[in-house]
Amino acid sequence: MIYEIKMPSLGADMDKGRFVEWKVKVGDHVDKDQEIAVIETPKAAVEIDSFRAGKIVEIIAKPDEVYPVGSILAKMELDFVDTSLAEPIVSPESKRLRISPAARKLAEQEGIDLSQIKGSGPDGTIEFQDVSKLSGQAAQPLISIREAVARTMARSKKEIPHYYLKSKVCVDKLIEAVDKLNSTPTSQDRILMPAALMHILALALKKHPDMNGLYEHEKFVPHFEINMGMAIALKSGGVIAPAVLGMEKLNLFSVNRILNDLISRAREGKLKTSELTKSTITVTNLGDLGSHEVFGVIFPPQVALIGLGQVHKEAVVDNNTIRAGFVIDITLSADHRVSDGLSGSRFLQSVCELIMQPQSVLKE
Amino acid sequence: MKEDEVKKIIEETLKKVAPEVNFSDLNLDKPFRNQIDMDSYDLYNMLAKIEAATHVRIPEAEIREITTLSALVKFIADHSSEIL
Repeated sequence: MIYEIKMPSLGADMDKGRFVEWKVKVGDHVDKDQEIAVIETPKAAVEIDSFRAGKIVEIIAKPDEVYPVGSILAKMELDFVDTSLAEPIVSPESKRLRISPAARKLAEQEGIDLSQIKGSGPDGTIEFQDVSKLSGQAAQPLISIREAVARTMARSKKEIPHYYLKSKVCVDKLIEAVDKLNSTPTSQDRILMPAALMHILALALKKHPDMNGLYEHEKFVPHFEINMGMAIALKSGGVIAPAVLGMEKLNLFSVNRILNDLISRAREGKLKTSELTKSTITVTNLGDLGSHEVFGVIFPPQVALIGLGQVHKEAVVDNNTIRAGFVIDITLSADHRVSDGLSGSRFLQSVCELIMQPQSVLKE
Repeated sequence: MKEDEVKKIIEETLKKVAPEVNFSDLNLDKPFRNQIDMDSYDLYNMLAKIEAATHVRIPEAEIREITTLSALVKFIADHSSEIL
């Protein structure tokens, strides 16, 4: 049986991709999950894994050519008949690159693939001069990341009737709980506050399914799986939002580990298809930049977007006395076709309750 | 641990996290994240390396208060008897 390997869709705003290179040739036997090619989208270079096992019988796509989503890139003769329907998945964790922030920024601006560069810095770190040598030689991107984001945001505002809510909550107990976890002898990776907050959001989403799912073909489908996208601003401009998949079954340490890996690979342009296409909700954390509140635009076809502001000190009321405490503003942008202010408020209330009593939820 | 030793560790760590940065060009008394192109994940990465090298744990609450390299040096020097 002949199976067609097609250009995957890696986001609502993607309608084409640039084919970069083949990792296999005609006659090669390919195992399931084996890396077979690299494609470039406006947001990232993505490795494609073979979803099936078989032999490559025809190569169609040529390097540096642009193909619409759904175009046939190659054909494979399957080892056995498999009637399951699924999109191609991409490679498992790629080799981590050591890259200086300035080099990363220049590579993003110039659209240079960092995996092709040999670093001259300590321990093979890719430094600014390693990238600047290639600057100006990179192929023109399909469309800029900024343009891709603009399309998505315009579509969202046109199609989704947004409503907005905000809650402010004291995070002193959460900070204390995270510090306690980071001080245990068994802790290896430092637990990051964004990871702790994402874990809490996932726990709240289990009780509020009208915030987690997709609105397509004029109906809302809630998802049991919580695939939480984290909006990451690229230094070259624009936003990418890869997802931590399956958060409904992850503990805090797993979330933390996966988030660290995700951010690292997002900057290297080495993300998986599923991480870019399967988000059921997105979180934007602009606290790092000093903003206290962010009312974001929902990524269609999702139905909600959560904003995390900067953790900062304010006067808080504690047992009828006023003291200085750390607080965070949590915002919700939600689709009014699916939920309303009451359900949105209840969701935020659940989140705040978990943040104020985190000991039981932040378990190893 | 003396402040000079801590400063040396921070300088070595910055060479790994941000190799282009010349430590001697930095103003230690001004917010360092404005001087180095560093987001929160770069910051956590740097602090994790400094914690490992100095064996001083930097609590989450302190991270939000320490904005200059001078403050970071002083904190670590003052708490250098703590064990991770």
